[in-house]
Amino acid sequence: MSTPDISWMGIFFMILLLVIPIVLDYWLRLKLAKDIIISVVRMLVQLSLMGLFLEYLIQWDSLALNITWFFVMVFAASHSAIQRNKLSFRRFWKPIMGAMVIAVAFAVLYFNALIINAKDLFSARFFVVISGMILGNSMKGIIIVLDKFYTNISKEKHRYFYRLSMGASRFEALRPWIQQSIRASLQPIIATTATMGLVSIPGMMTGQMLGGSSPMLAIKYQMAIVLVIFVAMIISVVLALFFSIWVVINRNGNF
Amino acid sequence: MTIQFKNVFKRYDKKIIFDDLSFQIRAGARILFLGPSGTGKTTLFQLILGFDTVDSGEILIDGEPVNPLLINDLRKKVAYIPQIVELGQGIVKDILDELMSFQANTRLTHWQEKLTALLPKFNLEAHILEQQFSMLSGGEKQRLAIIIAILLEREIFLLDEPTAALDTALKQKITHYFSERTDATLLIISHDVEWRQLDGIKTINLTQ
Ligand SMILES: Nc1ncnc2c1ncn2[C@@H]1O[C@H](COP(=O)(O)OP(=O)(O)O)[C@@H](O)[C@H]1O
Ligand SMILES: [Mg+2]
Repeated sequence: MSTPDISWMGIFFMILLLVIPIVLDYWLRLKLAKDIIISVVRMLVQLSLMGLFLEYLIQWDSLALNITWFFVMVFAASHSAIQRNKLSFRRFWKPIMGAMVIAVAFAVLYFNALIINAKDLFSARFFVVISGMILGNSMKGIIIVLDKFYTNISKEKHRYFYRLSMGASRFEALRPWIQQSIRASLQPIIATTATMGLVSIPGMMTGQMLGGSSPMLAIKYQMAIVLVIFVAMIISVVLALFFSIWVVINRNGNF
Repeated sequence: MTIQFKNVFKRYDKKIIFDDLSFQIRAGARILFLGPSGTGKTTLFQLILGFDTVDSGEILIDGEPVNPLLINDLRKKVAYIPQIVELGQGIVKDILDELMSFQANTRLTHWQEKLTALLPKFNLEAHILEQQFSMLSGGEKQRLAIIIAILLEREIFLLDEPTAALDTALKQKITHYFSERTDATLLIISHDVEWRQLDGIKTINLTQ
């Protein structure tokens, strides 16, 4: 069984689908047409480039190139996490990138070496593709944890200063905000994990089954991916928060 | 421990808070800081506690210019009551347990018994410990902060308007308690006249 190709005709019909949102937009005066078109065009261009790129990456399968690409992806994800939170790039890039490199590298190598037992841990097909998948989720977690942490603590400055005044160490004084923000960053993934397979078929599984895998095999991969993504996420959330505290807050607890 | 301000200058944006402020507080002194609202009394405590820094001039602790180590040291010797008492969410008892679990406070092994004795002294009932902190009245929060400050067994008290939300009888109880604490250094910000009657109290006026 192999995946049927999508012909140019098929692509035409795919893009034709956009008529529906555009008509609805016009009819309801949602003023979303511009945003819809921009986001769809971006998606098409980005995915085309990525497809082209992966095609070559998998064909050449060079260790140096795969690892370089890994760092490029981590850098892009860190940059995006910093921008979304409007944080200072100079202060936050090291903690965020450091956290992602450690968490994602650990997760993808663990997956390749121990779960699927890949012959080449750094082969593009597994290393690049899987780390990309893990990275997106880690980035979401980091965005939430840093946002909650720094926003909540500035809302509760009096309480924070009071704790410091008691002689609390930096980490003792920060404990409530560390707990709150880590909890908030993990809640979404915990919730979606619990309903997985109940409502929707996860994207990766869909892709694999369309590609001809048996449902059971697709499900085994899906389970492994969910766990690896979750573990990478918690590691990157915790590390990004702690690294950022080390860099941003001095030993007296001042920002 | 002596605390000295030497030609301290501090501003927030365009507003000058301290212009060449100098004074010295020796161990065991009792100082009442006076001045209308907005003259920088709270800011002064924040500077002492190292939550903020001077723009120029110096703060010296035991004759040495402040540095991170000295600030850490000082914070283990002071009991601070902030003007705004904000201890967090949850049951009072849990909040106290957590604050007392800081490394700096683990030497206080008998605080629970002392707490039980202190509550009635300031007209609080024991069941306040089971209440949500956010549900307490301003006066209850203030008395709780005073009790915590006492429980810490520190040598310097920094009290920022500690009796503002209390009635006269309670103001007198509190000032009476501190008048007997001749072992401690007292730095007080308050408009309440009761504090002026403490033996040996000196005032520093922050107007001008
Ligand atoms: N962090 C801050 N940023 C800007 N202005 C501040 C800050 N803290 C205090 N101020 C201003 O400094 C002045 C003195 O404040 P404060 O020390 O709280 O006065 P007081 O306790 O004597 O009423 C006030 O005008 C206040 O608005
Ligand atoms: Mg004040």
